[in-house]
Amino acid sequence: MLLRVLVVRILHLIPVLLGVSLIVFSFIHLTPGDPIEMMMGEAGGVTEEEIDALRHQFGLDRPLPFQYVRFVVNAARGDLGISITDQRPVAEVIRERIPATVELTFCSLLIALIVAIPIGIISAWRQHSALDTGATVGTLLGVSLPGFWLGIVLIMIFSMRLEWLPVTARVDYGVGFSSITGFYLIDSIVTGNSAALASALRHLVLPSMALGAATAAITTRIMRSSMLGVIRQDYILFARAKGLSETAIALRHALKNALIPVVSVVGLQIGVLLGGNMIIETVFGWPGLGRLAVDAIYARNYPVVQGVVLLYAVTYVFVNLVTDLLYAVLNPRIELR
Amino acid sequence: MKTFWRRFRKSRVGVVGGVMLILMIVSAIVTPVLWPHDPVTGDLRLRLRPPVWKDGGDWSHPLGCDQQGRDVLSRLLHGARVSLLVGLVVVVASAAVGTLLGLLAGYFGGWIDAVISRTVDILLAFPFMIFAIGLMAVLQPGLLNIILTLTLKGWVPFCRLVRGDALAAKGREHVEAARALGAGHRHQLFREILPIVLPSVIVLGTLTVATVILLEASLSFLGLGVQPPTPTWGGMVSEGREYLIEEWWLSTFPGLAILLTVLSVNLFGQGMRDALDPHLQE
Amino acid sequence: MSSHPLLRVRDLTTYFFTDLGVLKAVDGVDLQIGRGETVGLAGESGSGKSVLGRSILRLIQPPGRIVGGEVLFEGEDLLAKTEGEMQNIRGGAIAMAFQDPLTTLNPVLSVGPQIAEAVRLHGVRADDGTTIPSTSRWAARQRALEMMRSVRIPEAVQRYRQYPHEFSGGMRQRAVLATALACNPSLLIADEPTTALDVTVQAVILELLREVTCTHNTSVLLITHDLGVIDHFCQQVAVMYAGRIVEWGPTRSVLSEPMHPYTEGLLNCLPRLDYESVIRPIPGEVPDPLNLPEGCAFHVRCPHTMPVCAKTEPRVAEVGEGRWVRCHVYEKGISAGGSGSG
Repeated sequence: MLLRVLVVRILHLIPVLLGVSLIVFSFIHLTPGDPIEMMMGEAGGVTEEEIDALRHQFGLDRPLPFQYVRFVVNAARGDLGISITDQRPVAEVIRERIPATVELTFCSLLIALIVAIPIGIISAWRQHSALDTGATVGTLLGVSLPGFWLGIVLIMIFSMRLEWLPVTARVDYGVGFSSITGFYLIDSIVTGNSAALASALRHLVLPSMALGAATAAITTRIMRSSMLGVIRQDYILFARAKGLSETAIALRHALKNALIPVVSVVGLQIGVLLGGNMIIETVFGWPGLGRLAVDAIYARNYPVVQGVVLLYAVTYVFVNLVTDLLYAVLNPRIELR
Repeated sequence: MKTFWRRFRKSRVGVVGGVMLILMIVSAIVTPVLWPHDPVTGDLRLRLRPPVWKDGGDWSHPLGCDQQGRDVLSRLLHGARVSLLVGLVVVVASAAVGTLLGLLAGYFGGWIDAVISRTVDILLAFPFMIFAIGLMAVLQPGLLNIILTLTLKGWVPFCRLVRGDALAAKGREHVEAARALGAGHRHQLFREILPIVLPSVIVLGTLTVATVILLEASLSFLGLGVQPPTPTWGGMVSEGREYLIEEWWLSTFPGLAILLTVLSVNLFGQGMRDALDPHLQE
Repeated sequence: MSSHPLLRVRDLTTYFFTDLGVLKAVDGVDLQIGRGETVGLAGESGSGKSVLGRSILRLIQPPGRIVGGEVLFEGEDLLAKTEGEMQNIRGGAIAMAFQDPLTTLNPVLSVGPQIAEAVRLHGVRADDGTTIPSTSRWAARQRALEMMRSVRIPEAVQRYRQYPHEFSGGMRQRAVLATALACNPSLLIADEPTTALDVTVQAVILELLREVTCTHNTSVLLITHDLGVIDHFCQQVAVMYAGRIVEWGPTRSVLSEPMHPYTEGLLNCLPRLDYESVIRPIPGEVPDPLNLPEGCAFHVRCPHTMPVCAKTEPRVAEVGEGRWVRCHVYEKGISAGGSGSG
């Protein structure tokens, strides 16, 4: 049953992925400036023939549809072009930065969920209590805060005034550290380097909070309202009539039902997180994909920009697939279309 | 209509938000005229003057001056114009486009729906900031391009909402009755179905204003929005970053302005939601 | 009737404190159910019968609250018990089943475990009153399967793992009954068990109910608006109107010779299949529970109303063998020739 859902969803993906690639391709193609000239930069002394030869080599003198197909095929093979500023393959540049961003996004999501789900559940079960009112105010603020500003305020308070937590980078300079996977948390655990682990965690705290705040707020709200809806249902009354304790009812009967809409929302939020980490990485100087994209656009390093865009879009499409599957697991009633 | 206002007034949250919003809009429109300081060119002698409650500050520049000697309050008020203008224009445009496409998709179905829905799915695959950065590489930053970029992503939620509602509304009795009486497509779409979907569109619209303001601020923060020297809140926060230690107010106040504006829009939107859908849950 | 009834409700009062006022859902109700006895609680929507059922098990949530009375179950007042003690009783000694089986069962959990759940908590009560604890998962599952078979759900083992939406309506209600009866309660409160079902399925469910409860001597409080069901199934009947019991007695007797004008009126509303009759609806409407009339709540619609009816509420009077009526017409022996109307 689940397999059928999987197959159907994957089939739906294909036109979407094609559309995504088409959009990115048009972004690439519409950017001002000639890519060959930009690559050559100020080199000068390059003859017309050499430029033409390069153009031919990159297939830039062929008709558009051909170029598009070439683009898609290359992208599927992992070839995203050459970075203008440092002449390395875009794919390589991107790959270096992926762990940093993944770590940050993952931690932000984790913090957001750890905060949001219990608070949402308890707020619903104890409506109008102090916690509930506090949560309502908090979520309202959380969705109204600009993330970059929150980041800056956190830096001001915790880094500058209180000097508790660091501002930039992922690990303190001078902490002897060898990176294997690029995921500093995993690496430090694997190599048993507790100083590095502590340092990496300290560096993760503020950016994760800044990035995760809005997600926490939205998730709390949806968890709460979903749970409120579930509490009113007849099957909850029936569970009570069977003599189950309130905790057992909340966890065994209510939670699974209430989580269903939450899963969808969290899936959407991951998209927001992926977008938001551009900002947060800039604020905190975090060496991830987001900052790479921002730096690249300032430097007019368009191949890198579009490479990142393509990667994000494709990733997000697959994230949505996983969300859909999770939804189907939780809700046995859904039919396939 | 009257019941709407009555219900809206009952929502304290909505009223508070509405009042705040009106205050802000008024101050954005009127006060730059009344508050004479030039937000664009500064007097370097006034460079980094502190706000009124610190030593060296005075009431002529109650929120101090920035690194180019420009009055912060004046820049805030002019920045409000940008944010509110972008917010309003983008939402109106997005709602218009999205509602129209949603109506067409929901009502006609078939290949029209297929094309529109596919487009929606494809656009949804891009997180907004990613889309913006890709598009900004093509278009250069500027007010019009910001509005365009935001609208290009902004119409999608409206389209989905209206499509769903239109599909449901298609089956409703008075729509069927109109069809039985020989009403044409145009009549059915705009006279029968549109009024049904409109309340949800309005609610979504108010909430989208909040999102748009935040996104515009984020883009401006990155320097991809409206360009200096035009003051934008996001831009001000970014410029103030160098001075976080001593002159912290340069980044704090614009951020607060964003927060308060978005908050009031959200409160107002909550009030609208309470007034338009008699809510079943708390 | 046994002198030690299983359940004895005295002056039970449940109010709902809403923004619009105080809703007197149950206003001083007396009720009695003996061991193995089936009692019907008849009334239309808004009469308070469902609230009464829930009040007995203390399932009332804010803004509702039980404000007075006694609910004596096996001699002990349930209203005085702690929530923990009530949780032991619910599902174990007293069980309740609700109207719509589709919403009563949790849609995201399999049916079988929902039946077994109660058994794991309470064990199974033997007919002589002792309890066989069945708290192991395996034993609970066996018991659940046993119950599914006794309510005639086919292919119980496959069905155990299935979800409620995979069952038909009648099967779902049978599953609900299986859940309620799993621990062999002394008292089953069934709130409109047949209302959501087609007529043919109704009959099956009722027969099932009778069979199962007779075998174990289970008492049943059957809450319904359908007098036909009560006639078929219940030994005693209580008629409820606007939060009060207005008539009470053996079913045969009450339904063939109704005394309270409301009971009369209810019976006149039923179309008869065996001979031509005129349906005479009761004039007026069910009163707004927030705004009950002064005096007797029914007097506004009553064909026998007297001046005193508008001023004071009638008290309960015994008018025969185990028959009680709450009506001024029968008070102090004043007889206005009321019984039986054409």
